Formats: sequence, C-alpha cells, structure tokens
Amino acid sequence: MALLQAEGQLYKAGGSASLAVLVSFEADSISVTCQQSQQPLVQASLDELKISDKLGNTPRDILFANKDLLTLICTPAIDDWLHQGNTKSTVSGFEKSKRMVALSVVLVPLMLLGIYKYLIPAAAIGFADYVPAYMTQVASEHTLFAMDKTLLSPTLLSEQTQQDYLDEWAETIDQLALETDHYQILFRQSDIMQANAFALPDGTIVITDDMVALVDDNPDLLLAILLHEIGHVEHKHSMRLVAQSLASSVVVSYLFGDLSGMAEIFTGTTTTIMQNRFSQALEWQADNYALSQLDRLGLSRETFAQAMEKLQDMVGEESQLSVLMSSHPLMEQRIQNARSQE
Amino acid sequence: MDNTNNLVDISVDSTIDYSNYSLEQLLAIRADINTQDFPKRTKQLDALIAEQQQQAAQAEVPDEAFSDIKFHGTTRDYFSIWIVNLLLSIVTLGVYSAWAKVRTSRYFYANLEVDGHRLSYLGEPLQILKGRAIGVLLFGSYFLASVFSPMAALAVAAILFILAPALLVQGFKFKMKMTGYRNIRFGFTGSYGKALLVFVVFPVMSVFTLYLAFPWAMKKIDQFIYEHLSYGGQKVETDLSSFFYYLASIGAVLIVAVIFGGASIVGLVSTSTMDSLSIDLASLSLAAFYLLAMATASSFYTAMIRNHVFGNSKMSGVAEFRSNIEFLPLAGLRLTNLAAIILTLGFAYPWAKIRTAQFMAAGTRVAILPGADNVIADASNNANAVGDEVSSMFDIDVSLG
Repeated sequence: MALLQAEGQLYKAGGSASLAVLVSFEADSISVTCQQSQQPLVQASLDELKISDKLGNTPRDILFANKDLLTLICTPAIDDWLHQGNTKSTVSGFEKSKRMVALSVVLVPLMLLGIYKYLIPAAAIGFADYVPAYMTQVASEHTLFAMDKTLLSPTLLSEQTQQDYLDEWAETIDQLALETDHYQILFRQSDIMQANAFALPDGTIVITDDMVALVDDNPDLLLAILLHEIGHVEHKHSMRLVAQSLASSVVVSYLFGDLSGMAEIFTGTTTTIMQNRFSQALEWQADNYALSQLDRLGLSRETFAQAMEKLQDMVGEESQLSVLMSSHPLMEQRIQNARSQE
Repeated sequence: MDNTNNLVDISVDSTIDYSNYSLEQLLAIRADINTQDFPKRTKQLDALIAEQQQQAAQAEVPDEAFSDIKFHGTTRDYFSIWIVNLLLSIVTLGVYSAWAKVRTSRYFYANLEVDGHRLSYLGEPLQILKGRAIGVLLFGSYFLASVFSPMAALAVAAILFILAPALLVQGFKFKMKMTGYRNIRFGFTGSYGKALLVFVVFPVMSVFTLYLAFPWAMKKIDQFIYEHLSYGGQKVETDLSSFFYYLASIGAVLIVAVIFGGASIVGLVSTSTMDSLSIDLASLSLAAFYLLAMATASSFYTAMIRNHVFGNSKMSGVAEFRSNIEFLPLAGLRLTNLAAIILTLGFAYPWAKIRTAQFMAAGTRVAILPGADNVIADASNNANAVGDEVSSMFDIDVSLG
C-alpha cells in the first residue's frame, strides 16, 4: 500500500494527449497508473524527477526522465513528500510567512526611499567625478550645436554691450578665484526660450537677449543669475542629473517593468516627480552657491532675490501643485530663501 | 510494429477501405503505422486525414463546444509573492528580479485553466537575467549617447530602428517558447524581414498619408503576430479585416474628441477667476479628463480589436476562440485600477493585476476540438516539448521589464 495517493494528469512526451491518472507515492519512488484502464504508465524514483518549485496554490509540474509531464494539485502531505530530497523552496516559505510579508511591506517602501534619497544621488556624484573632461567638452559642443540649429539664433546685442558684460564678469570670476578660461559666456537670441540662462557642463554659459533686457536696469542682477549658473558648473550638475535620470529609469523599469497599461501612468508620473525632486535639489544648491558668492563679492543677497522677482513677474502666478511637475523650485520660495539668509 | 487496428491482411502494403473510420481512429492508426513497410497505406491515410480535417475545419463549431477560461489566482496569494520578491530584488541590487519575474509569470500562467488543463511558464531565471543585462546595456548606451552627443544619439536611434524588429521577433519567440500547455510548447515563426516591414516601414509610411493608413498598419502588425503563432506543429490561422481597425480607431478618436469637448466647455466657464488654488483645481481636473479620455478610448480600441482578433483566429481542428470584452466595463476596470494604485501608493498593484486577469479570462471562451489530443511536438521546429532543453544563446528576451 502506497504512503500517499493523488489524482493528477499525465501528458505523454511528444504530444498533447492527456490522461487522468492516479499517482502513488512510495518511500522514495512514485508510480503513475491510468485511472480508466488501471494500467501502470510510468514509474520513477524521487531523484529522477524534475519538480517545479512550490508557488502559491498552483499545481506542481513533475517532469520524468522520459519527458512525460505529470501535473497535480498538491496537498501539504504531498508537498512534504516532494521536498524530502531537500528541494524545498526557501522563497516559497518566505511568500507563505505572514511575518516575512509584513516585513516586506515595511522594508520595501523604506528601501526605495533610501535608494532615491541617498543611494542614487551619492552614486551620481561619483559618476560626475569620473566623467573625463573631453567627454564633457564633446557633450557641451554637440548640445550647443544642436541648440544653435533649433532653439537659438545669434544675439542682437551690440558688440560693445556684450564686451562690457564680458569684461565685468571676467573680473568677477577672477575675484572668486575660479579658472577664468574655464568659463565661456555667450549671448543668444531665442523666441522660444524667452528670458533664460543655462550652463553646459564644460563651463559654457548661455544668456538670452530677453534675459539681458529683463534685468537691464541693474547689471548686478544679471551677475546673480550668472553666479547661479556657475554653481551648476562647479558642482557638475549636468552630469549628476544625467546619472540620476539614468539610474532612476533603470531602477523603475527593473523593479516595476511588468506594470503595463494604465499602471504605467503611475510609474511614469512617479518617475517624473522623482526626477524633478533631483533637479530641484540641484537648483537649490546652485542658488545657495550664488548667494554665498554674492557675500564674498560684497554684494547684497537682495540682488538675487530681485532677479528672481523679475523672473517671477514674467512667468506669472505659480500654483502649489506645479512644484511637483517642475524642474525648478517655486520662485516664491527661491526669493524667500535668498532673503531669509541675509 | 503494432497494426492491430487493421482487420485485414497486414503483411501486404495495399490500400484499405477506411471510409467508415472517424478522424480520431485514422489518427491513431497513422500514429502506429510502420511508414517504411506501408508507404501506400501511409499516403492513403494522410490524404484521408487531411480531407477529414478540412471538413472538420469548415464545419461551424457549435456554441456549446465553447467553454470558459478559468483564472484561479487570488489577490492574497499574489500580494505575498509580489511584495516578498520585490524585497528580495532590492536587497540583491536587482539580480533577483529575474527570479521574481519567473515566479510572477509562473503564477499567472499556472492559474489559467483552459479546458481543464493549466498553462505553464517555462522560462528560466538565467535566460531572463541575460536578456535584462543586454537590455540595460542597450538602454544605457542609448541614454548616454543622447546626453554626450545628440548626433551620436541620432545614429544610435537609427541603428535601434533597424534592430528593433529583430528584438521584437526574438521577444515573441521567447515568450511563445516559454509557454506550455499539455506538455507542448507554443512557438513563433515570424521573420525579421516581415517584422521590419510591419513594425517600421508601414507605420513610417502611414505618416505620409496623414495617418489615414495607420489603422491598416496596425492590422498588418496584428496579422503578422497572430498568423505566425503555433502550438507544437499546429499553426494559428488568422484572417483580420481592416474595417474593424478603422472602426476602432475612428471610435477612439471620437471618444477623445467628445470628452475633451466637454472638458473645454467646463473649463471656459471656470476660468473667469484664476487664483493659485483654481489653477491647481483646473490642472487636476484636466489630468482627470485626460485619464478618462485615455482609458475610455483605449478600452474601446482594445475591446473591439481583441474581440475581432480572437473571433477570426483558430487552430484548424484543434481550437477556436471567442472574446466578448465590453468596452465600458473594461474602461471602468482600468480607471478603478489606476485610482486604487495611486491612492495606495502602489500597494494595490497586485489586486489590479489579479482582477485584470479575472476580467480577461471571463471575457474569453475557447472551444477545444477533438484534434487537440493529437497535436505533436513539431520536430522540424526545434525542440518544443516542454521537457526539451531549449536554452541556447538566442533564447533571450531583451527587455528591461
């Protein structure tokens, strides 16, 4: 008499035909007989079987050496029999343990938070330090080239105006003990970008004509904005942002890649919000860099606040919600930040 | 040699009157006959089988032959599997995620019951891991190229355009090969050339028709995918009609137009006073309208096309399919899933996935025909019995997910 018996289905190798079978489990062997004809069909010892891991309530697949496949829904006793060759799945045990599930519910969000808040930013700083100078130069040149072809056109400022600004800034950069030849400041006209300034990783800083016009009455305001852009370059923000975007997209698709359809909107939006948080953190760092450099130059932090106010007038009312979807912090908060530390 | 089914003299290879034999009997004899000693009889049998199979294929399958697909998975089980595997994936820095994917796929396949038999997922974690490593490498190099030089990115994008159909074909092949049912694997036989045509050339060309040919291009994609599916040695036959693709596309566009038309009327009324709070409210309701439009339009398209594809695909003499998904319940399902996932910060994901599987299973019916017992593992098409080793260098699915 067999130790255990169960009903299952046997699929003979090479075809799709199936048979309802009776499976008998002996001490360390298994025998399968046809339910209808009572004929013995296949027999094997435990170590000849390839058994699928236990997984939830799903039936177990047992593959014989002759490629016959036996499928059966297992009782705990049969699972125990199948596991006597020390093939018990640890993971299945974890999945069944209430304590492990509860632990996971707590640890998964905490660890994801840790990855996004500390691990990725720290790794990004490391990455930015390792990018060779010629790579940043190539990146900057190509980006400027592409932008000149699309978004930007030559400046409408007179040679004289440009030179006046450049001379003044060269002096400032010198005063701050930064490498003068590292920084190259360019003027461009752009209808699309309006009043704006941006820095490329090799130290090229582009200022639009509209930006110059916006703060025309006070050259110190433009200096404050320039210092913010220099902050981006000094802290290698472009490369850090690259590394952070790459790392966070890889993490999301690696862990949540099987989310499809509407659920993708959730991961997509979450990724955008995360990227914006990264970017905003860098903007704050550049702001604070500009503020401390203003101190060193003996200029008031108020100039930065005023420059931001000019920009705020231009963009108009900002909603509290938009901070989630924007790469920059709210103007209001940036102005507050500049004034609070005076 | 076993020819016990033959009642007359078995030693001479002469033809026999098989006219009263059923298809099953013929197949049984054919399976046992010694083809070398009895070439004539084999030929005769093959001809008769082909004839009977054709007749069977042309005969209308009665409604009562169709049975429901059952899905046995539960949110409770899957939640545990999902969260524990997520934790293991994180602590192993992503390496375990290949094992997690296998367990998830196995759970959903093995809980799907068609005609009393479960499906099985046969992929191995190492194959998944390999595919993911290549996926990360490709994605990473494209991403970095696009950062360091927009020109290099353009070149890489062009290469990916040419490479994408190959990766897609590879992905379908892997997915089908790793799906087993009754000890037989599925297969995909589409070629790179055709894939390039339907996935790249036709969609790009349809741009020049102002997207008027786009629904037709979508049909060509589906036709390509479904007509190259196989189960063991049995091919899937598909005959899709462009009409339904136009109907589904026009319907989807109309739904978006109606919802946004309604939204802009509401918007016009409420934009009179615009302080910071009402900007927030306006952008939130715009997002809500956007999601509503997306869910409804995409559900309309999915439901109509799925029903059409299933109704017009079959495995001759083996199986026929029906899908009767309704678009409003599908849209409702998608919207409630999304809402639940947002409100629970992602924790409702297993619930959403289980109820989607239940919904799709409930909307699908399959008629398993007598020939289903006689599908054989097709030796010409590589190994496709479940127990066969199939791991080769090319058995990978290059993807991040």
